[in-house]
Amino acid sequence: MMRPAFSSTRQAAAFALLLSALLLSPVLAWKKLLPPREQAYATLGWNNGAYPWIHNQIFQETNAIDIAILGSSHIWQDINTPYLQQKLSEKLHRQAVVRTLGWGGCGYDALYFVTRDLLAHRQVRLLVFYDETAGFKSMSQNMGGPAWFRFGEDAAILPGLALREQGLLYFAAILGMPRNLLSQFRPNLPAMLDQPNCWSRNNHTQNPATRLGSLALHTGFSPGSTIPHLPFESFVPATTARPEDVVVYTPATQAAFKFAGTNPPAWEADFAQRLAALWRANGVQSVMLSLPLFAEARSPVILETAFWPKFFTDTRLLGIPPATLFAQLTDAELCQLYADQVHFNENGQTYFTSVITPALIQLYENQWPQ
Amino acid sequence: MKINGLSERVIYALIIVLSLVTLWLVANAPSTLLNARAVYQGF
Repeated sequence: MMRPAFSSTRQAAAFALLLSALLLSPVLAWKKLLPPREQAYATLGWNNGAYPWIHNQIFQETNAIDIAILGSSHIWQDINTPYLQQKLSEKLHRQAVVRTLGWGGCGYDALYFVTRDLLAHRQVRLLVFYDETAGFKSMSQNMGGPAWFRFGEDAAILPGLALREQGLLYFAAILGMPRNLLSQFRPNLPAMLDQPNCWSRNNHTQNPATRLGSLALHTGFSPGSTIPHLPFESFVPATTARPEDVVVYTPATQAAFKFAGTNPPAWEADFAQRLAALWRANGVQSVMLSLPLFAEARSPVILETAFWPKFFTDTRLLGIPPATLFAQLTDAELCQLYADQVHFNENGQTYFTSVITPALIQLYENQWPQ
Repeated sequence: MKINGLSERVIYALIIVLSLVTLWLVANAPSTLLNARAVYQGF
């Protein structure tokens, strides 16, 4: 005969109480036991995003940002922020402020929470974002969820979501509780940004904090996560692509774009609408900057999964047809611009930014009425 | 405190419900979120 799970009913009651306390910990803690919001970012290290830099930019730096580049690894690794800042400074005849806040794991949930925290502390004139890879993923791919979704502060977001996503965010809040409680009693100090981190220790990649948040991977191409990267070789592509080839989506230029017409998951659409409302409320102009995947490199049109102009009605969608961007390049030369199937390496980042920068500066200068 | 038969059934029912809720929360979460080492890793 199997031994009973509990030796007494009282022991069973204690177990039920313990389980209830764990599951209800985000409700019981509510706002009173949560540490200050900045601790949410102070608990996160470099590995899953430039979180120490993001913490610094949201909670320590205070000046207005001319162009903020926000999003997951795709945009984090594809824009050369120091170059964009230098070109904008030359155009404005003053020191411009351009910053990248990037992390690992795509999804508009992370973009919403980080943008909301940034806009609560700093003025942003133009916000550039892109959070797409091939197809849609499930919510909370981003490992920062247990830190930046705090039930006591953000419970109002849940009713707009389906039960599955509600459960996911609530579970993230439970996972974050031990760290939140610990941070309440023993606050985390801000990271020392100039110290070596996992990025600067690997592959001679520069510390993102010294590149205004941008990550330039110093690696060659790898076609798959289990295949080692080729050694990095500096490469400057010679193509006929010009800044004039960059296209802003309008009814007149729609032939340069092809939307697969896939509807984003309901949670993604919900957070897209929240983002649009957040930008409108803060008077922020926004640009969705289409970034080409390796597999799309020969496409004569800009490929997008969803018809995003329907969701981001005040946002400018900007891109360059990949076949134009990579014209004259052989397949081997193309590989020298990418670190993997999604992200540019340092070569690709430098090249793409040089082509796209004039259009971004023009959008900054000609800000449009909402 | 003496726990009578009805309370005992309620306690065991509560344990079953809470366990099922926990299982659903875990099964519903993406692997990235369940990777506690990654979630809590340092610098």
